[in-house]
Amino acid sequence: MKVVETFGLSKTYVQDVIGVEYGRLKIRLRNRHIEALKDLTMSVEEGEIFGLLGPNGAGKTTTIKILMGIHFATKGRAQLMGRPLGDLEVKKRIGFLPENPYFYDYLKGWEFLNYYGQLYGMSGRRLRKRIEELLEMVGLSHAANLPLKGYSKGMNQRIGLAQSLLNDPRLVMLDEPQSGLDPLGRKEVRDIILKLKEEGRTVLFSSHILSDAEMICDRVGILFKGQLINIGSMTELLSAKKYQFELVVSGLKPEKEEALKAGAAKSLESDHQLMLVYTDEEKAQKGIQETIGAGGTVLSFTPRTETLEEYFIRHVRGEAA
Amino acid sequence: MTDKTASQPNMPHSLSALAEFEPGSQSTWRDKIWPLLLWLGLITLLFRPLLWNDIREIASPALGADKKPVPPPGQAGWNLAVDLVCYLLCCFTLVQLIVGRIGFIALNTFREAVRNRILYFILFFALILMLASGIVKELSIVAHERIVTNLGLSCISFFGLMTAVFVGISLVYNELDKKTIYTIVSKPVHRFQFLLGKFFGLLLTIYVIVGIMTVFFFAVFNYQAQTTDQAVENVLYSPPDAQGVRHLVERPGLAKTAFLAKAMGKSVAQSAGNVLGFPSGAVSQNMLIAVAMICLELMIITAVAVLFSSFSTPSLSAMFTVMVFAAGRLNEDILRFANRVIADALKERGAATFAALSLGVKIKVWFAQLCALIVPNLDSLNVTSSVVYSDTISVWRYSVLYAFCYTAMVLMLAILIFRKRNFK
Repeated sequence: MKVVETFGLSKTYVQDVIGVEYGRLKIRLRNRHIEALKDLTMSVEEGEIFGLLGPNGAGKTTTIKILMGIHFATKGRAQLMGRPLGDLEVKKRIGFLPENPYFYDYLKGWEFLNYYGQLYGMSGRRLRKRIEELLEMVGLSHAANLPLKGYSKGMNQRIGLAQSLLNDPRLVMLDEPQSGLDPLGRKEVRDIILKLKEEGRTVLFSSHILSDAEMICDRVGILFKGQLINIGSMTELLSAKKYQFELVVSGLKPEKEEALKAGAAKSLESDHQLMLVYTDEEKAQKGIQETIGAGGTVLSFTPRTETLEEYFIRHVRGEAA
Repeated sequence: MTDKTASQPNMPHSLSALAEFEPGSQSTWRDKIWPLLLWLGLITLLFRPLLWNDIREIASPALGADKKPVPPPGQAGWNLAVDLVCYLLCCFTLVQLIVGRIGFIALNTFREAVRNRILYFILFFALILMLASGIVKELSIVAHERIVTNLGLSCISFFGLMTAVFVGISLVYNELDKKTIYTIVSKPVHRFQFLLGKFFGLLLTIYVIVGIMTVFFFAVFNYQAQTTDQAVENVLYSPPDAQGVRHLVERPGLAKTAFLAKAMGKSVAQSAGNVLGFPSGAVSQNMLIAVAMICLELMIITAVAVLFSSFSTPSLSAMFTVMVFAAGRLNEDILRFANRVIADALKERGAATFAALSLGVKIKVWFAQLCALIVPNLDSLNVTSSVVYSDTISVWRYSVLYAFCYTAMVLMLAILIFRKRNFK
């Protein structure tokens, strides 16, 4: 079952620009068209974590804004849970966290969640219990009665996450949930996303922190300059082949080190340690044997697969070329 | 899967996102019908006065106040039907306010306004100015009641406007600027509900402020009435001894007049007592009507403020709103201008009818009439002067209806602009 479907979604922003040409002293008004999103067709299956990845300005936020009804698409259409955008019944089952959220700073944390709960049509004991649970979950129980004015960036992100889960949503859309958080906060958000998946919810999130996305996504879509350049599961996108082997050795004589360096594709020397990078598995094995044969010590040996980041850079470079 | 739902009793939905959308469950009709009814209500309210076929009367009710239009006999039943529809739809709107999310948004808007410090500054200055009416009235030797009444009512109107401008303008803009609108739009709330929530919240704030000012004004008025009447009586009816001289020294302006009147004879003294002091003696019903009319006026201004702030920046919207208020207060002067132009042209040309006039004059007149039609006619709601001069005030039914219709129209325009807007 498809929870999110888009068909040829395009968005063009029109900016009024007053162009001043000094050459002939011309002043003219013209419109600048910015194609933020070009012909995006994709879908998100039920129960999966889908990552929308891409550099800044790739169109991730635009896509999410269109899906949430904040912006309207110039062309194309989209469906959430099989219904057209803007359907209130669907909105009752969606949670949304915008990028760099900022909320009413005159409200207390608790009041804020209460207000948003009321907008979902919740009330009374059920709402109160849900708010307590969520504050517990995002670790803000101590700040429930503090005004949002005094919240730090991380706390804002957490209360934002809490408001997106108020209605017990089936689909959660998170726009850059990890931006502005410290490593610990990022891990916590990651854990929450995994927990949401465990509970059977669908999560769609955008990110440019690729290592985080790599750890949790079932499938990713990669956007670049408004175009979807690839979509698929992590295993489909990243070749499973080990493509690089790193060997760290020590305790070798200088002439033996030279010989090993000659055999490796890349090498890096620091005090008492030598790191050798091989692209061929056989050569790497030989390197290990030679080290042991010469009385040296193997400190570590790491076969590496391609990371999302490397894949990404490869693709973006290929696109630019 | 099933044991997971059992372990989490607070999850009423089934775990599948799509499970609840059975083909038979057409639960969206309610979401569609409420806005439809609301719109229908607003539109009916708008065209309600037009049914009596006299657009000029709507543009300037006060001008034609003496010749009340008599509906043709066949139309009485028709009017009753329309009235019924109007009231029903008003009830629907109320229900929508309570059942729908508008009420919550309005309450939150009210909370935002109440936690804004500017509101208290406005209130503080309003109360100070009303207190000052006790001093200001001494500048005049007669008509103290008029001065206190005029100052008080003008204060309520002016500071109500200030609240609408300084508190109201930023309310919609803040949500857009700080992007809180993103999360509101993602909730099951229509955009028009958001805008109406803002409007009603702002209106509630303004009415609370107006209420406080009114209570304060009435208290000041009653206090002034008592003390002044006492002073006048003291001078008029006390023997010309040391006591009488002391009153003279204490209230020089008032007492001098009273003293002169006394010197002119008993009957003059009696009528002077009526003019000098507070003839009505206490807060009158007319004052309450004047406050109610101010409330209607502020309703129009609030709608205008919401309209401007739905697409403009706060400083520009504040300027526009104040301008609309000023133009609205001068509305009937615009029509008077048009009539003057016609009269002058007729005299100059010796023509008998408007049709015989030149195109230039016609364009001038049409433009003025168009302006008067577009700009809210706040003149027709302004009964302060009638109250001050103790005239009988006739609140024309059209004026009240006009206020509601104009508000509805402006709000509809705001909703239209807001409906398809991309929030940046």
